Amino acid sequence: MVYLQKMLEFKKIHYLRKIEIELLFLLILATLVFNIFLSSSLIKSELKVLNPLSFQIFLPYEAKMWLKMGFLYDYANFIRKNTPSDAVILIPPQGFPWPMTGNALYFRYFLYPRQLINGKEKEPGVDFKKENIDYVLLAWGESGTSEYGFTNGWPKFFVPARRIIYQKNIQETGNLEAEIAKKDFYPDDPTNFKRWGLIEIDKERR
Amino acid sequence: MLLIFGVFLCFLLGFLILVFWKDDFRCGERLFLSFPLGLGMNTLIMFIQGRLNIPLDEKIILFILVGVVLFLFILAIIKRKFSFRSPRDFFIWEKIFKMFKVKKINKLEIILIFLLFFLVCWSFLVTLTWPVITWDALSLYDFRAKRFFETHSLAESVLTKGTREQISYNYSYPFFTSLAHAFVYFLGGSNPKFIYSLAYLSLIGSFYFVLRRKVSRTISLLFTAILATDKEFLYHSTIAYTNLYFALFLGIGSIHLLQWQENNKNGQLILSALFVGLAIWTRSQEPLWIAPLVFLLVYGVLRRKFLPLFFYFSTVLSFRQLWESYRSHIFESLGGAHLYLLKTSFYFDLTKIFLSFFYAIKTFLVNSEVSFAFFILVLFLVVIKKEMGKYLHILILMFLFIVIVWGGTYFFSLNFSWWNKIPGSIIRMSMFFQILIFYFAAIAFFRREKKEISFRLPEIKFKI
Repeated sequence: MVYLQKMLEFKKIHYLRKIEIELLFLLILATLVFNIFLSSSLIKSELKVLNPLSFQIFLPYEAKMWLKMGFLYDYANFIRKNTPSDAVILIPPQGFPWPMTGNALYFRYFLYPRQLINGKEKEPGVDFKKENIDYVLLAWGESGTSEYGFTNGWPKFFVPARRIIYQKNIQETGNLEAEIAKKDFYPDDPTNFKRWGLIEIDKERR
Repeated sequence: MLLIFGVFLCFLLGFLILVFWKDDFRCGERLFLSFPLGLGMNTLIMFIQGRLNIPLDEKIILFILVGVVLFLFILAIIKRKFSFRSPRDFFIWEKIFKMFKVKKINKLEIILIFLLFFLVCWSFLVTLTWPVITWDALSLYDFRAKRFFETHSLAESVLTKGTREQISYNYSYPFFTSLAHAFVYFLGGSNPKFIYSLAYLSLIGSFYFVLRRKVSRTISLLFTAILATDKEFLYHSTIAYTNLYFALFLGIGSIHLLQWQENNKNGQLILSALFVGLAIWTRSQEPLWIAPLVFLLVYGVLRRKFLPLFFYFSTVLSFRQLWESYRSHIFESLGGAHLYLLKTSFYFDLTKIFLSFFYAIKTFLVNSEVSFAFFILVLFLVVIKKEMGKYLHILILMFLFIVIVWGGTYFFSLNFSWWNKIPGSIIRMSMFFQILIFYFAAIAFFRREKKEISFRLPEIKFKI
């Protein structure tokens, strides 16, 4: 207790009793251990960056973004590559299974200065001509979860298209290769199943 | 290189502000407080620069920053805040050695210092490795920073375009973190996340020193370690959200206000006013800054301390006015009120009063299990031991904070059907309260009883 009292710098008797101070001190130590235990998973998971096999710390920016965002980062780059900077793009409605591609405020970070407008699930929700829409996103959905009754695959409506630009091999890191099909977009066309890409609107027919 | 120089200038700016009240802070404490204070002030300067249509680019930003630092430096010399007799005295080695000459360190302290050192290094490792990636940081804070950088201005031409939801969202939070990110980009940096590790370091250091005034070194280190190992704080030191800076400014600012009442050190009052003001400059949506103001109003009126009251109110409210006037200027220039998305109402609903109370308590207090357990224990102890009068000041301030959170939740519940689906936001918001709880617990459990310092409002007699 004398040692503890010295450590606590008490000059005279504290309002707490000896045993209470000792118990509190032990409690504080236990709390610290408990906190370390709670945080250990977070600390350990991030220490992977030091792993000499992966060398995450020295990876270039693009690779780090891919590690954190997955194929969606490539998809954003694919859109950037295939659209002019002043393009107006119709994106899925906000909600799962499009938590990121359907969130205009989030997805704009990657696509700025392109303008993003939310559509509806089974209809455009906007007038293509009035809103001057240039492209419609072809987005299967980055999540398997559903919200507001939405299901994977977008758009679920006919789009008069000049061409459809599919992204090839989406799981291959950094692959921005495109496959072009000059046809209209029909939602029930099996070639569009589980595909990602862009639909370029035929402005004369919109 | 330019970036390191810029960060050093921010640090120097904060340090030189505090040097005017150097007797009120220990040297180490000033070192830890300097960076967040300097960064906050620098972003304010950048904001004013943008408002005056002076281009935001690295040369002008650095020129103004160097000018302000030099001005403060010369002022400090004139006011004899530095006392050199010869240039050689600039390096007062004796003083420097004295500063580091500490009392014998025990084993527990050595372990705790290593633990804190490890945590800070870990945080820097993460922030220097990963780019900005978290949701709000991408959709708002860093997005705005990139536009400031591209347009060399406050980017009104970009941020005022889009749907009304987008425009309103762009101006939903003040520019503090966005301008801090932009500062890094202007000076050639590509990843601004290290400023959050610096905030974590500042929080740890300033919490230690603020506690050290009241408790022993071991206890101060122990509670600092508990705060530093808290998962929420640790996580927020690695992501580019506003919550860590908000917690630092409001939490540490409130503690300095409490300590000012006990020792009347004006430096602490000034720092508290600046920090609470900077908390508004970080997040203005939650009106938590009202609590220190109401608290000081009651104290100032009862103790007839009108000058500090006037100073505190004018400082804090001018931070708020600076942002709010800009926001309303933007919205009015775009056609006015329709951009304020929140068309709200306030009425009496007994069910919602209870529901919002339980929800606020659950998310604001109970969710942080460790600090909540401390809170209950410390309350129990001070009540049982009839020591409540001694801690009345901190209890009143905490009560005011809880009332504001409850009031805010009630208001939210009246206007939004999804009011109880945002626990994450309230948990993040409550980080500053954890700082207060740990401070309260430390002083209630282990305060050095050198002399009896009690606080009692003259008109209130507390009896149990």
